[in-house]
Amino acid sequence: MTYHRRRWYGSSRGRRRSRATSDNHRSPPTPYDQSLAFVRKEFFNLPECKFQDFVEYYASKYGDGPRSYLSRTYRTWRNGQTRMSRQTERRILECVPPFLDTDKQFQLLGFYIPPVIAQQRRQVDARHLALSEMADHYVQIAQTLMTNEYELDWFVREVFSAEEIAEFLNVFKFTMIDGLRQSYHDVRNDLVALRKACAATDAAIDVQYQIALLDCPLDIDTRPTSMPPSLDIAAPEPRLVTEFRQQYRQILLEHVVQARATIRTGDIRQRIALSDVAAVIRQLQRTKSDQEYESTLAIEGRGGNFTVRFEKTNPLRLQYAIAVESVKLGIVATISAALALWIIARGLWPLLIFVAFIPLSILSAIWTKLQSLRSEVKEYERKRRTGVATPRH
Amino acid sequence: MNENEERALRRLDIETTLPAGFEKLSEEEQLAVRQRLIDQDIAVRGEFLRNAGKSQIAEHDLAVGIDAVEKLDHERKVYSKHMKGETGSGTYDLKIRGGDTRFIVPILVVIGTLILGVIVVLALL
Repeated sequence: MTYHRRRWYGSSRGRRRSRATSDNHRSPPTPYDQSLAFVRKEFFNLPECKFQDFVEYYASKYGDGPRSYLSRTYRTWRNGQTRMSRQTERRILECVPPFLDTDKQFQLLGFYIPPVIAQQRRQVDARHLALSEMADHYVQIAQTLMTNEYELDWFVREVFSAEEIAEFLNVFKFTMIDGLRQSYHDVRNDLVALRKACAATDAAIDVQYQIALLDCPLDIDTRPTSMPPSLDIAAPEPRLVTEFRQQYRQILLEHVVQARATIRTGDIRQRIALSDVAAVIRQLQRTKSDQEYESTLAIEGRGGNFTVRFEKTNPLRLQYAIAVESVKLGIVATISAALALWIIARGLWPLLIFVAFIPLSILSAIWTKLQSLRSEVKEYERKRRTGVATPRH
Repeated sequence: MNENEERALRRLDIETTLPAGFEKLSEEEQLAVRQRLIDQDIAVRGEFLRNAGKSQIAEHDLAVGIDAVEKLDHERKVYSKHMKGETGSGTYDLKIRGGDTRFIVPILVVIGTLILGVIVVLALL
């Protein structure tokens, strides 16, 4: 659209704007609408000889009445004087495809590629995944992809044979499972490589990983090297037996070419990401032992995105903070106890009930801070010990 | 063929990565696939060079920042520095704190007192 080049004046501006807005809000056509529009167009452009065959076929399916109605109304449908009824539209949708050439028939089936891929995507979506369960989860997804019944509009099953539909679905199952296999390999490879790259640092490391294909975070609860290097998923290459085999060969070739590009780009991304990690570690190693740092790297790997956080804390500072809080706790506890004894000795029991909450709340605040400092030290030491794999207890 | 030419050809060698079933394609299709693979390789190499350059700049910026922190450290100042930037593969964010030695004084005083106490006790015994 080149609206920015147009000059809008007066009322036409508002009108055009509202039209543009309504266009933006209009939902995209469904595969059914696309198929219907496509078949209607082909129906009105059928060559004379094919049209006669079509009319015979139509009559054999629906009888002479509909045939004569079709012959009578064809011209007015074509020039838009008469609107086609829903029933006739359905009949046309069912009867025209056999009279189209293979490319056009495949184009019709092709409208269902995005919905099938969308259905597959819904199956592979996960909310959260642990590294220790990743292999099993991927295998489970592959099994679901293989056995799932995909939703297709009624006319697809009417127009195309069971063999054609099975071949169509098998091609996309195969490409999706191939992508799944590659994703597993890439994710594992990213984590193994990152672990090696981070071996040089003594800082506490926290890694978060988002799997690109599944669009879900991965909890790195085990060492990535303990995972099998590749997935053993049985996905036989689809047998191409129907008239559409040439089109499927093209799709499979396109998949291979795209997969190659993804592998090469992923390889480069990983190399750059690891070199970035190494560069940051190199610079962090230049810091002194009493310096504290927090460094976060958000980088793109082969199979997903990393967020790597390096943290170095001065243990002496933390221990000092713990000591200060402990002393504070001791002082407040002693003063509170002394005050309580004094109040008891004076026999002012009701006063004790009213004022007891003041020292108790101060003690509770100091205690909470002390606990949080202790857990900070523990967490820091745990992250330093475990490196990239940070099992959560 | 000199060594440079040979290396240049090797860089764009796509024969080893041709897809399965490639030989079944017509000559025109084979040529189109070859062209796409070469274009892909060139694009990937371009991306690599661009990103590697960005990463080098980022590392240089980080090094300059850490040099500045080191200078502050030499001047015995309490500091906290925040650096942000873009690398070839994403972004980095670094916060460095240091120079705060106030907490060491009480620790040294306590340790000193303890040592002194031990010496006094030993001397008395």
